Amino acid sequence: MSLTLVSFNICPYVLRVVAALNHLKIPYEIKYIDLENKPDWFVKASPLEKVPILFVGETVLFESLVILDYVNTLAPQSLLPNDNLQKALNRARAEFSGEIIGTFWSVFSAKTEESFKNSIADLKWYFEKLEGWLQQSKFIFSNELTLADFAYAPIFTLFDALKPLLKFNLYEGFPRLQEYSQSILSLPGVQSSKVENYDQLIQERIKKGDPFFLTQ
Amino acid sequence: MQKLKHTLVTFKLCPFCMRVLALMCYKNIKFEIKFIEMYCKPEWFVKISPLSRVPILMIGDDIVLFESDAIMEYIDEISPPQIMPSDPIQKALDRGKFEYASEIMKNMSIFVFSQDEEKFFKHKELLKTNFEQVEKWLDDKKYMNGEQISLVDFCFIPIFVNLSVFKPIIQQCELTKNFTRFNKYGENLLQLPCSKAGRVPDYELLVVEGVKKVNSYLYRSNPCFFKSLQQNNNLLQGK
Repeated sequence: MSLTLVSFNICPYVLRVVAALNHLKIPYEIKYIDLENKPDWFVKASPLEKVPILFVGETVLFESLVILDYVNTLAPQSLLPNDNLQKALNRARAEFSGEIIGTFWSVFSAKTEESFKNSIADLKWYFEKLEGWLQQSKFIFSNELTLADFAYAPIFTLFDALKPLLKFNLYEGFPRLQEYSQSILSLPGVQSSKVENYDQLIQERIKKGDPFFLTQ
Repeated sequence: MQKLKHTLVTFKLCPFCMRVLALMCYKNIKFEIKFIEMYCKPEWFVKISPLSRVPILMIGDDIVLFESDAIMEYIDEISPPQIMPSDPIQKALDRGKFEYASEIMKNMSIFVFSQDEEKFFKHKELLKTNFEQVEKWLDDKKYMNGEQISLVDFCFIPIFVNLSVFKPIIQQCELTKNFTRFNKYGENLLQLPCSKAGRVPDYELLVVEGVKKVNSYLYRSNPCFFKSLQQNNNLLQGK
């Protein structure tokens, strides 16, 4: 069945799916749309008017983690544990990454010192959780790469894109997290999930919002 | 088979907890329930819940499962027959609807608790769009996937529980007018014993307290309704 992924070029949720598809070497087509100017067919097909959506033949799947799970069923070797409880725990851990992606935007779009400091504090709180988990295992869930790791991938591509604009190390105090970010970024599937000029596009998008952190 | 002890930690008003509670009742799972206060979370809870959110399912001595969707799928898998489809595409379609139902709950929450008139009316319109989508999905079926209930239907139970609490207001706003399939679906869901089990006895009173506390736009614009809701519930509770 043909797979067509509908995407927006810098969307982190899309990146999760592209990275997994690339890693699993599953063939697909990709269609980019402009979120500021959504085509009619997209609005009709996507119940929440968000990307990514995946056309499987004519059936439309939505929600990035749902799509990830489905893509995993197409793989010769599952990236999920077999045991029901472990599978559920992996899914829960994958969901957690969504909070961090949201907080990322808060940090780097905060316009005042106060909102920046509050968002950074939230981010550090999440980082502490991740650091704790990563002290127990090589990857975010276990010593093997699992589906949850792909849920986290966009966090690291986003931070990596912004590094040239930062005067501080975001991972300071979180050594395991820093190591983990490197191992995820070095996965070929993740590298190839970034569009051309990804870093530049992210920087431009962030700069457009006139954020506080750039005044530092 | 269920061998380990299961403890569900919840807030009484939480719709995501209600989904799980209704499912566990439907599936006859043996479990304990622990209610905690939203604005006064105990330390033991903050320590074990990664997002400090409910619901969490404590399994055995040291496993904590969080995220209502993950909990629901786990419960379904340990208690055959499973009511989640096994076909990967159908499963993915249903999971997308879990998320859609969550989006509806978020919109309803703002509709009920927002102090802002503009936000209230904006979310009222969003809800109408949401209900229209559900109407389309239902087609002519009793439940989302046909005559039999499936896992996704449990995600919609809290929506209808809340709509029923505010029935006169919903009617006045014409929020569900002309959505015959949607309304019938709601009736079918609310008639299930597990729906009733998923809703705590003092649910309505807690909702009234909640809207009163924040002085939401919905509360301010319907004083008589909320006064009588409170009085009726106090009577029922012998207060």
